[in-house]
Amino acid sequence: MTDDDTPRLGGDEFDQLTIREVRVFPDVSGDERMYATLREAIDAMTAGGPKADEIYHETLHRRQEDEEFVVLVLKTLDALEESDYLERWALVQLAIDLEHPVAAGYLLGLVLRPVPPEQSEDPAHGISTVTEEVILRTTAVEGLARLFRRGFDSSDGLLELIATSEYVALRRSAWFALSENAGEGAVARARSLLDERGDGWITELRRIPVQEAEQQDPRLIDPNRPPRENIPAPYDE
Amino acid sequence: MTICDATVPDKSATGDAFYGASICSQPFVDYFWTTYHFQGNKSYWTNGFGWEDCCNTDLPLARAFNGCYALTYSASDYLNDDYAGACLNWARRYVREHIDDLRAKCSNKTYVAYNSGGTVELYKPFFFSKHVPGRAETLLHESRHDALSHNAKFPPGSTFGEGKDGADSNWAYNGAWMYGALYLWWYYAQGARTTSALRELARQRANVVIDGAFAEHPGYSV
Repeated sequence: MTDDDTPRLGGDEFDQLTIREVRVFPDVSGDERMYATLREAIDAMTAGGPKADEIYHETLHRRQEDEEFVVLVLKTLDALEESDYLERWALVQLAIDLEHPVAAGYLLGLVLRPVPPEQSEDPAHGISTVTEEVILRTTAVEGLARLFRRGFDSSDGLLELIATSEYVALRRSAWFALSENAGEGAVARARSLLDERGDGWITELRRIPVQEAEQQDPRLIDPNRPPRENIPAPYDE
Repeated sequence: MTICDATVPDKSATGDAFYGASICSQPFVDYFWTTYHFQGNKSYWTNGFGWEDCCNTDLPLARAFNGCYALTYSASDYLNDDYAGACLNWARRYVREHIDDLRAKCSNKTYVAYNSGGTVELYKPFFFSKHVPGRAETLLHESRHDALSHNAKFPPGSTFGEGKDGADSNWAYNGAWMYGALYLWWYYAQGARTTSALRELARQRANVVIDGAFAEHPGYSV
């Protein structure tokens, strides 16, 4: 615990922060109603509370066949800066949850777009821009996996991803999207490509429920104190 | 004194718009301030970091509280935080028991956060480059550094920098990456009071950690 009154050699160690800007999604629609609809959907997507998921899915249900809305989501994505990773994730996630075939080409293009070079000096301890970019692409791969069920076959693009990507996470995500959704020929080709790269082990990965994974070892947790009481109830419960 | 500035990303994208509304009450502020050891560190949370305006989600303190809210209430049976159970349940307890002082600062190199003997410093990327559930994961990851440091180099194909220091040797090491990934995995599987979109985000992040943060791949995929 810090004694704030203690004189400190070398000056004050407490920093000072100023907020320069509060970013919001750009309105590329030029239509107040459409922009409000976009904001409402993103609000619902990242909300919490006992009915959060129900409300989000009601929102999705209202927009799922609305091609104009899906196109707005994609155009807004294109209007963002590369470094706006949080906003880009929100729109990619919304696009995949809408499961509209009109987004398929966009998602495939994102997946195959080269990952820009790492911008962080220390990606292990800072924000790794490569990791952010790869998560955007694995999220898009999940969207493509869902779109197999809507008749969009992205096998060729996913095979290209396996053949060319330098990141295990992208090769792994493409493998699962193909192995769970594509035809036998594409799955065999994916297996062959992975073998050629020395990545046959990816086909052996186990996609299992979390309960079946090795859990924490309680013997390695120290100290182990009694639970704290007097916790308030969650919001709205 | 270091002086810095920051840009706040869209608060709907990060989840701060909702969480800001839900935690703006004194019982939550009291609970988080004392439980997660902000207490005694007021001077680190003033000067623009939010102490004077603790419900303003433009500012670091409210954004840290948002992470604390997710950490505390993301298990449906949040009152059960037995270490023999699901990580989603005991993560909040682990953070409480392993952070002695929680402080905000501008920066330390490009770090998100840093644990030095139980004093955890949170830097700008924690507040402004992480989603709300990602902040909960970071608190758990940093807490685990109270017990274990990283002990290996990142493997080939890792997004975190192949061949660089900072990985854990394997899943059984029970290190900070394992705790973070396990939390995200449970969040994906059983996260409560959240949406399928945020749970999917947890899944994607968990998989990238599993694929890239262990010298020996655990053999799992979420």
